[in-house]
Parts: sequence; structure tokens; C-alpha cells
Amino acid sequence: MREYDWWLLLFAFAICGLGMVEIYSATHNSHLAGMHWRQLSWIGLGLLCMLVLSRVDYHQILDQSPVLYLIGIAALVLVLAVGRTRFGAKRWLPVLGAFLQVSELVKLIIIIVLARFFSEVRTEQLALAELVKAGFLVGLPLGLILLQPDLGTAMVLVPMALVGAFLAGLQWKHALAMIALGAMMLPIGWHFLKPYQKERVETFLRPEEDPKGSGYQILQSKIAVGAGGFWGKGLGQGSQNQGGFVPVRYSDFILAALAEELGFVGVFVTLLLYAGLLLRLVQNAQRASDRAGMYLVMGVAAVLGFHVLVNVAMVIGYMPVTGIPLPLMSYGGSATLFVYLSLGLVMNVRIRRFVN
Amino acid sequence: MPLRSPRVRLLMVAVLAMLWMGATLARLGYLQLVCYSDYLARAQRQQQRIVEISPKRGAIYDRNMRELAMSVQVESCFAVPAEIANPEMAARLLSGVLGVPPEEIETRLSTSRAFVWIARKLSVEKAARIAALNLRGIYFQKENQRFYPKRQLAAHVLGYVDIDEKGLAGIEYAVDEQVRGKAGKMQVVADARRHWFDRTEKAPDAGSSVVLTLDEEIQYIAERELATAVSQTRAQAGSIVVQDPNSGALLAVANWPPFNPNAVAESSPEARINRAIGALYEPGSTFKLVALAAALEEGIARPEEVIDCQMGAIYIAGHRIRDHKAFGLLSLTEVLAHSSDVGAIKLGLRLGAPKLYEYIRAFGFGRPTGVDLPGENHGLLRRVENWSAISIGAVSMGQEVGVTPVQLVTAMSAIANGGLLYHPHVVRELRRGERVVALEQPAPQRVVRPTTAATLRRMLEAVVLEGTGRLARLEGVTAAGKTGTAQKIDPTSGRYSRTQHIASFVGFAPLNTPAVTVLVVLDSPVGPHEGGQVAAPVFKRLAEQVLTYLDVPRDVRISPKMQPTGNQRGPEQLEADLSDFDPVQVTTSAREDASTPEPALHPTLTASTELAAEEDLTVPGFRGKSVRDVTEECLRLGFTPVLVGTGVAVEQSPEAGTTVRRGSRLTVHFAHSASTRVVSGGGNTFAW
Repeated sequence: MREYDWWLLLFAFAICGLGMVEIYSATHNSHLAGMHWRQLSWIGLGLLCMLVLSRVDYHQILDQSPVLYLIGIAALVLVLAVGRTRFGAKRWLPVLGAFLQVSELVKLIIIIVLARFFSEVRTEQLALAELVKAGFLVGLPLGLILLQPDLGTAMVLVPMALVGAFLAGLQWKHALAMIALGAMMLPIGWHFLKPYQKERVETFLRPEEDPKGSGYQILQSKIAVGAGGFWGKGLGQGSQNQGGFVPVRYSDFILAALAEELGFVGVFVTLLLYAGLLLRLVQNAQRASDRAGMYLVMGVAAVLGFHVLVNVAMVIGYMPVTGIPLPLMSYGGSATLFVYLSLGLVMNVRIRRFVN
Repeated sequence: MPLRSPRVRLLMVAVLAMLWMGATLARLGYLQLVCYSDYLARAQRQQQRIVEISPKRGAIYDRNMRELAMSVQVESCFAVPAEIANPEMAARLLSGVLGVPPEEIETRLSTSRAFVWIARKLSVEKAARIAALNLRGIYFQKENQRFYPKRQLAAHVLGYVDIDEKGLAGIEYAVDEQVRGKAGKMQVVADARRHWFDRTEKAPDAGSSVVLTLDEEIQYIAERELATAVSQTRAQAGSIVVQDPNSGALLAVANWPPFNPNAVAESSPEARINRAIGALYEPGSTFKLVALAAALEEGIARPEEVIDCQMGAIYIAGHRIRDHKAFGLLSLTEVLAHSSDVGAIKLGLRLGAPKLYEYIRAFGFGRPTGVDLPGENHGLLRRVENWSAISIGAVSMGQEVGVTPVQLVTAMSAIANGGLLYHPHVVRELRRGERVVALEQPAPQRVVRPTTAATLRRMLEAVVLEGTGRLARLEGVTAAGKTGTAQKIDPTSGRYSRTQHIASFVGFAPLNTPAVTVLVVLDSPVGPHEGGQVAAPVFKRLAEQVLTYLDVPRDVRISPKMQPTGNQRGPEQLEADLSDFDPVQVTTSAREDASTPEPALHPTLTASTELAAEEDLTVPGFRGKSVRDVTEECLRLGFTPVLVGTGVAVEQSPEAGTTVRRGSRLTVHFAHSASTRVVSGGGNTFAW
């Protein structure tokens, strides 16, 4: 137990604490009251899973990665076939009386699969063939998730692969080629976007044009953040939050609620905690006993970092609404479970950092 | 290659992430620190709404504290559109009750605002029917509705208010600021779906109440006599003003045509003119008393002096002016009594234009009287420099000048009271809670010496006893006055009309201790059109009733063959004209009202009988309640209150507990109990 990264856990708990407080504040006088207790039970369950996962040697887990990959793909196909439709998307599978978001589980599996894949690349530079293979490895589940549709989660898989490839010695010419390819794909990708997704992007580009319609969420979020000022209005005092102007204020936009009630100071502290968490992850990656361990931890760091950066950017109006929650703060069972499971992987790597 | 080592690449990833964090913090600082006040204002703008709560408007009382105008609470209906799931259906249902096209309501229900009025100041029936629909998102707000329980009584003086209870005319306009009170404020905090989840209220301050100098009883007599006179003479319009000559206070101001301030929209703008202060007319012979008073005051004429009236014609500056009758030698008293034009012109010539002009101004003509009502006409009097050569003759006999009834009655009062020109006024005092603010009137101006006034009174009595005003002679009481018949100026030709006249009589009684000055003006009577023929009898009927009401002792023995007092109720037609209004603006059968006898002094208040007329109601007990409470309760329950007297309710019919039909009449008698009862409600405390 002494080998656990207690600093990392401290950051995680502090963030969860802030999240619980804000979930309470945002929901206590609505029909959602009591949500923070449910979140607490998810956190508890997550901690338990973390403990269990950290006990199994990650090398054994990596050995099972082809099986895990198949399970993941099967689950994605299953959810498309029999999944539960909520909020207009098929993302949930009933497991033990709760609804689990399959894509969260798949994210974990992809981290493991990519770690195994890149750790087996023994060359200094990543060959194009390897890069393409990695692309297919990620592309299949990504496509399936897009079918749900869940653009946000699908997008999360991309930085995982990119960070992994980068660390595995991605060649600069390949990177440039990918950027160019990506830019060329943009207009084609635009064609495949759902109308509501197009609208979100358009809204992001011109939010003032339709403040009552699709620009509403971003505008209200910005108003909430701006109205918070330096010290904030105080917990439970944010009128944007309490009046329900901030959309899904307990989940995706929880940072807007927090910014209104706790002000610049509150957001600054929150961001510091996330920075601490991420740097701690990078440090653990550096100290990993082998490359596989490093790729595992960096996979986790890539996912969490991406979540935080994209979510915060959305709340402050830097990016269109994507539906990516703030890890550890936003309410959500599957997401919380995923974060603690991935932290379990990190602990796993950390415990075994001394080669014996 | 250090660049390719994972360690360096790890650092690069970390640095990239931290750079992004930095950018994020910069943006946060911009939003939360730089644009803070801007966003805070935007948040407040979309969350807060301030709704004004109308204050209770002060009541208007007559001089005996009888309520002439008051505010009662009624329901107004508003919607919170966001809470209405099916605007189309809601609009259809509401339209069924309100009689407004459903599309119009649906448009309102489909707005994105947090609050829209559906219908304001609803009748009890409609409010109940809307409430019975039980629609989501439809609410009621209590508002004050101005209510004139005596309907058209003194309407021109009282004026009226708009839907927001803002005074638009009459007293309501003149003292609007004091009567209105201070609006309260309700700050509503709305959430994203525009549900109200918080409200803070600042209670409104009730306005002051106004006590007028008008006397409801005298006002009623004046209006009834005016209506009778108009219907008998088929005049187009008319006014009666009753003034207390000893203070200038107006006791009654009646105008024809009348209007109902409870339903202003149904009246024509003409009917709403307060002719007593706003309409100019050429006074004709009544104006002769100015030249006469001036001549007597200046000592250039004596009552018994004989004047040659030149057999009906006089030349001024080459113009021949004809008298209305060829008179020979007349004493000055007879000149006035028979209203000789030549005689009057001779007095004017004797005075000279400047002196005559000076006296006309002194008697209050050609300048505002300062009456405390809006819309006063200043009168028409050319400056003496602008008089033509024959002006002096015309002015002496009451032509080339325009006066208002109030100007003339006030001038006559100066003669009645011994020579003092008072300021005519209708507001006696303002009351705010226990505080009474009596309105001081400016000191009166002396126009003529008391002896001159006494001489004039005797001469004016002769007009009534043996002159043109014989029909104004009162039973048992001395009186004085002057008749007037002026040709109207034809507006198309600008010349005097041959067929249209203004007949008037201005007088006072009793002769030596005058209690009232009365002016009767009838515009364009058909048939007999002389003041002595048509206006003088009105004076007689009115003055007799008013003096009896005021308990003025008789000073003449009554002749044995006493005339019948005349039909006090007036013809059937008059009754219909007087009582076809409905306080809650719901159509009701006016015919029914007209044919039902009712207490003469209290026109019926009619609540809506539109719905469920056959519904049976149990009569509540009113004993001990105030006029206001009884009125409100009756209107709320759906009775038609008939209120008699003032004070607290002492008697009612039918008795409490009786079952009657909705809309039935409920007569309640009020009286003052031995101990003054203080009724307090809110910031409003009235002692009755």
C-alpha cells in the first residue's frame, strides 16, 4: 500500500470533493436532489475497482489484450444491437441493474491494447506500417462509437493513439502528413456530421447569432462564468446555476456552475488540481520500469488530459459543445468508474516500477 | 537523437498540456475579471423582472364623506407562457370565456416572455370561469379597479382613469399624484424555463383620499333637473352650477350630455367635456349686471334714476342697435328687470370703455378663475385697446365676450355675498390616513362695496318679482337673479344664429342671507328659448329642493294656493338615460333597470348577470360593514348592490340567509353609529 501514489490520489479526491459539492449545489433544490450521494457511491465503487486492478500485474493484463480487444468490439456491436437508447443515442448496456456506458470500458481496453502494441515496437522510429496498424486498431472501435452516435468519446480515442505514436517515435514527416490528411478530411467529415453536430459547430463559430436557440448553451455557460467574478457568488448562490440557465450544470457544464459560485479563485484551484494530477501521471510514466508501463500511464494521461482540456475549453467558449464530461467532477457512473480503473492501472505500474 | 527519446517526448506532451492550461486561465481571467460586470448584468437581465404593483388609489368623497369614487380589488389574468403545454387549446378555451379571437390569445401565449397579460380587470363571472378551466400556467393577480358607485353622478368633476388607474380627467387628473399613491414593486427571479422561483415585494403605498365640496344630494338634484329641462326643451347641451356664495365652494356641477366614468369608452368625447368650466358662451343679458354694478359702484347711477330707452334703438358710431323690445322711460331697476339693451348700453357709455373693462376683469371674466379642475377655459375678453367703436355697446349687453358658467356663477356670488369675489373650487381637503390637509383658498377680492351689492340684490330681486325672471320666483323664499338669452354664433357663417339660442338664468336665494348661487344654462332649446321662459323655471325647481335639503328657513309667507312640487322623478326617459351603465363593464339589461323603481338618490350598481342567471345564492349579512366592503362583497358574489346612506350597514333587504337569484338587487341601508367607527385596512385608515 505504501507504494501507492498518494499525491495522485489526494489530487483525485480533492477534485471529487469539489465535484460533489458542486453537484449538490446545482441539484439540491431540484428533482435531482441527492445526486451527490449517488456520485459518492460511484466513487466508492471506483476505488474498490482501482484496488483490485492495481493488484493484478499489468503484464498479465497486457498479455490478455487481444482477448480484451475482442470483448470491447463485441460489446460495441452489442450495444448497437440491443443497447438502451437515452438522450438520442445508444450508449448504454444494462449491467447489474445499472446502465453502463460501453464506450467508457472500451477506452480502458484501447489504452491497454495500444500500450501493448507500441511497447512491441522496438525501432527508434515508428515505421509507417506500424502507424497504419495502430490506426486500424483504433479506427475500428472509433467507427463503432461514431455509429452510436457519440462523437465526443470517439474523439477521445484519437489523442490516445497520437500520444502513443508520438512517444513510440512518430516521425515528423508522418506527423505532417497526418495533419495534412486531417485538414483534407475536414470537409468530407463535415459531410458526415449529423445536423445537430453541424449546428453545434456553427453555433460555436457565431454564438451571438441565435442566443435563444442553439447558441443558448455556450452563451449561458459564458454568462455564468463571467458573472462569477473573482470570488464567485458563493455556494448555492449562483443564479445562473440555481435558475437552471447553465445547461446540464451537474455534468458536462459543472465547471460553469463552479465558476459562477466559486469565482476565478475556484476555477484556478480546480485547474491547479488537474495540472497536479496530470504532471503526477507524467512523472509516473517516466518512472515506469518498462515501456509498456509508460505507455499505459501515458494513455491514461492522454485521455484525462484531453477530457479536461476539451471540457474547459467548451465551458469558456473556446470549443463547440461536444459532450465530453470533466473527469472526476462531472456526475456520471461509468465515467467515474473508468477514471478510477485507469488510476488503478497507473498504481499498478507504479507499484511495479522497481524491476525485480 | 534526444528528440526521439521517450523522456523528451513526455516532457513535450506535458509542456503542451500546460500551455493549453495557461491559455485557458487567460481566457478565464478575461471572462471573470475583465468582463465581469458585463456578464453579471446580462445574467440579471435574463433572470430578473420587475413588475409594478399598483397602489390603492384614494377614494373621492363628497362633503358629507359619501363615496363618489373608490377602488375595489378585481382579478386580472396573466399567463406564464413557458408553463403552457398546448397554447392552441388554452387559447381556444380562454377565447370562449373572453370573446377574443383565439389566434390573438395564442400569439400572446406563444411569446418567449416570462409574463403576459391575458385580460385585465375581469368581471367576477369571467374570472370564475377562467379559474374553472384550471389551466396550467394561467394565474390571477389582484388589481385595483376604479369604481364610481354613483355612476354618472358628478362624472365631469370626478373625471376618470385609464386601465392603470392613472387619472385622465377631472379631479382624478388634477390631484392624480396625491391620489395615486406609490407603486409597489415585485422583483421576480425567473429560472431558465421562466418559472418564477423567487419573488420579493415592496408593498405599495395607498394614495390620499379627496374630500370635495360637492354635495351628493345637491349634485343629484342638479343633474336630475338638468336632465328634465333638457328633455323638455330638447336642448343640445346644458350646465347647472350650484355654488356656496360665501366661500366660492362648488356644491354641484352638472353637465349634459352625461357619461358614465365606469365605461368611458362607451361615451363620446363631447359628453366628457366639463362644460361648466370648459365651454364658452356669450352670456347675453346676464352680463348686464357687470355694467350696472360698475355704474352703481362708481356713483354715476342710482336705482331709481330714470333712463330713456329711446323706444328700442340706439346709435353707436353710426350703427343702429335695436333693443329686444321698444321701451320708453324706465327706472334703472326696470332697465334691469326688463333687461333693456338700450338701458344697459347707456350705462356702459356712461362708464366708458376702460372703466367697464376694469370691472369686467374685476368680476373675474377674461381670466382663469383658478378653479382646481383641469381644462378650464379662460374666457374671451378682448383687451380694451382692441375694442371697436361699437364694442362698448356690445359688451355692455353681454356680446363680444365669452364666459364659462363657473365664471358667471362666481361673479353672481360676489353680488350675493356683499361684494367679494371668491375662488371657485371643488376640493375641500386631502386625507392621508389620520392626516387631514385642508386646502386653503386664496383670500377673496373685493369687487364692489357691501352697500352697492345690497342695492344690486334688491334690483335683482325685482327681476324675479316683476321682470323677465318671474318664473324663477320661489315658494316661501326670497330670491334674486337675472335672465339671459343670447343668440348663438353660427360656426359656419360666423354670424349670430336666428334659430339657436343660449338660454340662461343666474340667481341666488335667499335674498339677504344667500345660501346658494345657481346658474342654469341651456344650449339651443327648441321652441321657447328665452332664459326667463326655460332656464328660470329650472332655477325655481332646483333652488326650492336644495334650500329644503339645506334646511334654509323660509322668509316669505307661502301663498295659500300651493303649486304641486312637480314630478321629482322626472319622465321615464330620463330614468333610462341616467341608469344604463354597468360598473363592471359587462353588458346587462339596461331596460330592466329602467323599469324598476329604485331609491331616487342612488342609481343602481349592476353586477354582471351574463352567466347562470338562474343560479341561487345565499345572501350574506352586511351589518356593521362599510360601504366599500359591502360593494366589494356584492360585486364579488354577484349581487346588484343598492346602497342607501353612508356610514356602516344597519339594515338590509333581503335579510341575511335568504336565498335569491344571482344578480338580484340587494338593498343595504347605511347610517352613522353613535361612536365613530374607524375602519383600518393596510395603510389606509378612514374615520367615518
